[in-house]
Order: sequence, then structure tokens, then C-alpha cells
Amino acid sequence: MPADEIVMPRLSDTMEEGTILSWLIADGETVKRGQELVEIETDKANMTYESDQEGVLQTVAAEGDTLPVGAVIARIGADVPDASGSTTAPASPKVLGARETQGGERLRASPVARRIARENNIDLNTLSGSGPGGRIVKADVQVLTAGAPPTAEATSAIGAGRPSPDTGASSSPAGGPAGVSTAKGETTILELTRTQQTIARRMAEAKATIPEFTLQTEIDMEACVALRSELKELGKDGIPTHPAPTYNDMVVKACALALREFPRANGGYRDGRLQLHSRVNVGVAVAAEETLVVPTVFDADQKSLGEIARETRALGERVRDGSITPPELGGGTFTVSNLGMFGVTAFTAIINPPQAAILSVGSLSPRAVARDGEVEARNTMTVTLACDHRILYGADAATFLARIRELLEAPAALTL
Amino acid sequence: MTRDELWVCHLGTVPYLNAVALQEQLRARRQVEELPDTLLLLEHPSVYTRGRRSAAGEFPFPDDFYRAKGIDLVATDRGGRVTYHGPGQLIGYPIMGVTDIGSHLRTMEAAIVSALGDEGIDAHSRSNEGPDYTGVWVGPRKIASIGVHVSRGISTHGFAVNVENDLEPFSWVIACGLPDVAMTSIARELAVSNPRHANYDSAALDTNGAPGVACFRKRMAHTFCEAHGRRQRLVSPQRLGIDAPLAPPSQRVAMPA
Repeated sequence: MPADEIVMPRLSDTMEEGTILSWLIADGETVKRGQELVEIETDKANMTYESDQEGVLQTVAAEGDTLPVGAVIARIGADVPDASGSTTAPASPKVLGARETQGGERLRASPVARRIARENNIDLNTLSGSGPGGRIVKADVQVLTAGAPPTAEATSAIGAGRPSPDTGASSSPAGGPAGVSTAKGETTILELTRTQQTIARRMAEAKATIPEFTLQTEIDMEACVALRSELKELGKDGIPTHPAPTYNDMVVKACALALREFPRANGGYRDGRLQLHSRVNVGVAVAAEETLVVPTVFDADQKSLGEIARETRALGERVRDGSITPPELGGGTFTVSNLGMFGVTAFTAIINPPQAAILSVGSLSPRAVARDGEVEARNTMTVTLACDHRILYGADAATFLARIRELLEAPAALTL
Repeated sequence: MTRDELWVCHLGTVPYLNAVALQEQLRARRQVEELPDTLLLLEHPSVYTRGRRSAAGEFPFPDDFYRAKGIDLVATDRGGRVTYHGPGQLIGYPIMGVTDIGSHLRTMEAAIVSALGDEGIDAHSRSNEGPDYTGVWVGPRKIASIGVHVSRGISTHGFAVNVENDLEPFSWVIACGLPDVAMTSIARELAVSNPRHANYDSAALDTNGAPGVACFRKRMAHTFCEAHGRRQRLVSPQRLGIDAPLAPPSQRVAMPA
């Protein structure tokens, strides 16, 4: 007797597809009429679905699979079909690819992979999966369609800011790299971690939406160099100055003092409004393994240079050993990014929305400077301020940047 | 009991797992028509709940971090991903017959939008943007979360509206699977719309004039019944057969007269 097909039920007029959350009856077991068979998720609702017939259950769709309404998810037969299922009714075209078998086991493939395979007439049985448990993922199928642009349907499944269960699963560590051989040689595809996804989205959002302009200035750092060696000397005399503040700590302190005087530079633009903050919290960009985080020095304007030095050091260590907590990463009102230690002369960092501006700090090194009609070698540093023109205008930003320069060229105010 | 009635029961503060057990019990009785459709209104002590499809990365920090903040972590069978519940948030669990799951969710959203409108907040549904946007939003900020479960045609779980709760715990997880979704509350929205409070990120929010949970739940019960075209009938927990206190007396809030 041919098995009856169980299809993805329409749980709602507007439902187009559903995800199999769990089979409540195991494959090969007997199900009774009215017994709860499967739990299905659609929208933000999980629903159990009862069997309206009796017989041996043969599941077609795996847990986690997302299928359109009407696609076959299981068969219920009066007698037990053999493992290959070859004597049962032919698979309907709608679910082609969902029923192939491999080594007697049901083929595991993601919905996107199935869709791409279907559209390109690829037999999934000819592929070996690189996903968890040998599951065939999009990349495995795309090897065979390399060069061809992704189809509209495949794109829509993962686009529109709507994470499919498949992409969610493969962003987990189990997702592992997938090796692909193309004209570019061996190409390895890595899924982004959650943090990397967030960085990617926020940076793209910043570049796409912020009307940005940049200002650059060169700062004479001789006085800061002198101050730093003086502070180091004090340390040798037993005065607790360890760790000696870095030039970046001085930049953070100078920014904090200047931000106090320029509320708009300390503000943000969000939802068509300007936000002005009462606290000055300076974020310091720290590179960690394959990621970038910005721990915050809260109330940096109120803290001494020594406190800032101790705090940034502790925060940096906690970023690197992974013990940093969310409250320490949020709440920044301005960001300082420094690539000077890599010998970078000048660069422009991307604004961290909804902040008004970000300061990019280049390397400190002796440069030839004309001074009182003479050419002199002076320690200088180039800083670049990227600003959101919706909150911070040119003249304000220029005065703000000049104030930062002034504080660093005459750093006595930083030591208070 | 008549078909056009919808029972509404205020339960005060109920620990999450107690509320789950209660819902399962009421669902079984509703399935055999021992009870009519019923809306439970309550609050939960601080808790994070994971839906069936929660992914590992949604809790970026070790469990101890959350426990140190006094927040429990509980797994549930509702739809959706991670969310937070805590004091000051109104929870609504409709235990009712559902024939169309989509219209169940959309009616719930419409009722919340309408109740928020009564408070002077212009909220809206974003259901056309996909399942991850189920819930109720004020601009791009999320004010109410929705996640339900339906078994043998009867729903459990439901909605959570941020009335005056602490929003910070939302920032410690990837709520609803949407990284960076900004959460808001009635108290915050009313403070923002007041021009005296330009700085709505400041710690000190003026909640004067904002309704408390006890006040908002009345509006919510009204608009929920209205959206379903049903007559509201307020019933006591005893009427539902709930005898034992659901929470220690210190955690209970006064029942309405």
C-alpha cells in the first residue's frame, strides 16, 4: 500500500514556509490518529501538528529544515517501507532533492543548498557535504555553479535582514571552513561570528548613511615626549607612576577635556534628533583576535592621566583574555583609534554610530619642521578627525580639533 | 460562561517556571472546554528565556555573568529567540483557541498598538518585514516582544510590553536574534517625547506621568478583548482554580478589587 504524504501544513493564511522544530514521533515508529506528530515554527509561533491518520512514520524533512507550505515532510504508511524508500510513491517535483538517499541514509542538505541544486539541476547525491555532520551547504552546491550569479530565490532566502535558520546554524563554531577550488586557487569560506556580523553591519551602515567629512592636523609632540620621560623618571624615584601613561592615554585625556567644552562633538545623531550627553566616555579601539572592540573609559574628563593609563591597560588585557563585559563596551560618546604603533602616518577611521566623531591617531616620529625660519627635527604626530556633518559642522569641528592640539602641545592641563 | 466572553485574570508577580506550569495546566483544561478563552496578565522576576531556535551566540557572556546580575536563564518551548523579562514589564499569556496562527499574532500586535496609542505612543507592527520583526515597535525601537506556542489548537505564551522596566539587561544578550536591536519602554518613550528631556540616554529618566504596570494592564486587557471582538470578564485566580499562592507573599502585588 502506498504511503500517504504529510505536507507542511498551512497554519496561517499568510504562512509561506515553516521550520521543522522537532519530530515528536521518531522515524519508523507507529503514529496514531490524533497523536501529536511534529512541532513546526512559523513567524514567532511554534505549533504542534497532529496526525490525522495512523501508520508507520517515515520522516522526509529533518529537524531544522525550512520548507514551503505543501512540501512533503513525511509519509505515513500502513506497512513499513524499506530503508531506501524506493517502493513508495515517487517524490513530487516540489520536493525534489529532499528525498535522495546516500549510503542508505537520508541525505542531509540545507534548504538553500536544495533550492540552488533544484534550480541548476544538480543531483545532491553526487556531492559530499562540508557542513556539520556531512550536511550539504550552500557553498558545496555553489562550487558547481561557480561564476553564475546567485539566483534571486537563493538570495532572497538569506537577504532582507532576515537570518534563515541555516545561516544561523552555520555561524556557530561547528560550521567550520568550507574549501572551494576556483580559478583563484583554493578559496576558504569562513562564516562571520556574531561580533563580526555586528561590526560588518554597523560599519556599512556608517559609511552608507553618515555625511562624513574629515579634518587633519599635525601636532607637535615635543612637550608630551618630555612629559612622558619626566613621569618615567618619577617612577624610578619610587613615586607610583606605573604604568607610565602612553601617548595614546594623553590623547584620550586631551580629547576628554576638549569634549567637555564641545558638547556636540560628545553627542550623537539618532532618529532625526541630536543627543547631547552629560558624561564624557571615551572609547578606545582595541584590536583583538579577528575582531575589534571598543572598551570605554567612563568619565574620562574627570579622571587623572594615571587613572586613564591604568584603566586602558586593564581594559586592553580583558579584551585580549576575553573577560570584558558588555557594560564596559557600551556607553561611549566618542572614539579614539590609534594605529601609530604600526608606523601608520595618518588614516581615517569609520565613525562608530550614533557618535558624532572619531579621532584617528598616526605614528609619533621626528619630522623636519620649519620653526622660526629654521628647519628643525621635531617629534610630531598626525591626527584625523572624521565627523558626522548632521551634528558637527566644519567650524565647530575645526575649533574642537585645534583645542585637542593645544592641549597636547602644552600638556600641563592633562596632568591635573 | 458564554462564547463571546474572554476571561482576564491578574496574577501579580509569578516566577517564570511557575507561570509555564500554570499555562500548561490551563491549556489542558481549555482543550477539553473546561475553561473559556482566558488572558493571564502578570509580571515576572528577572529572567532570560530562550526560545526553541536560540543559538549559542545569543548569550555572549558566561552564565555566571548573568547570574551575578540576579537574572535566571530558562529554556522554553515558545517561538522566537532570546528575550528578557523583569519587574515593570507587563506579560500577557492568552490561553485561547487559535485557528490561524498569523492572525493570532497580528491581532495581538494590533491590541498592543492600540493600548500604546491610548498612552500617547505612536507604535506600529513590522510584520511585513519578516518573522524576526514580529512584535511592536516605536520607530526603529522595540517596545513589545511576542512569542507563542500552540498545541491542539490552544495557545500558550504571548506578549511582553516594556512599561517601566530596566532596559539594560536586553543589551547583555542578542535579543530576538537581532543584534543591536534598540529596546524601549513606555516610560522612556514618554520621557523622550517630552521636550524637557532631550537627553534620553541619561541614566535619570523622568517617569512622571508614565503609567505603572497596574494601570497599563487595564488598557491592555481592554484593547485585547476589543481586538478579538469579545467581552471582558475579570476573574480571580481562584475562579481559574488557582488556590496556592504563585509567588511568596513579599513578591505578590495587590489584586484589583
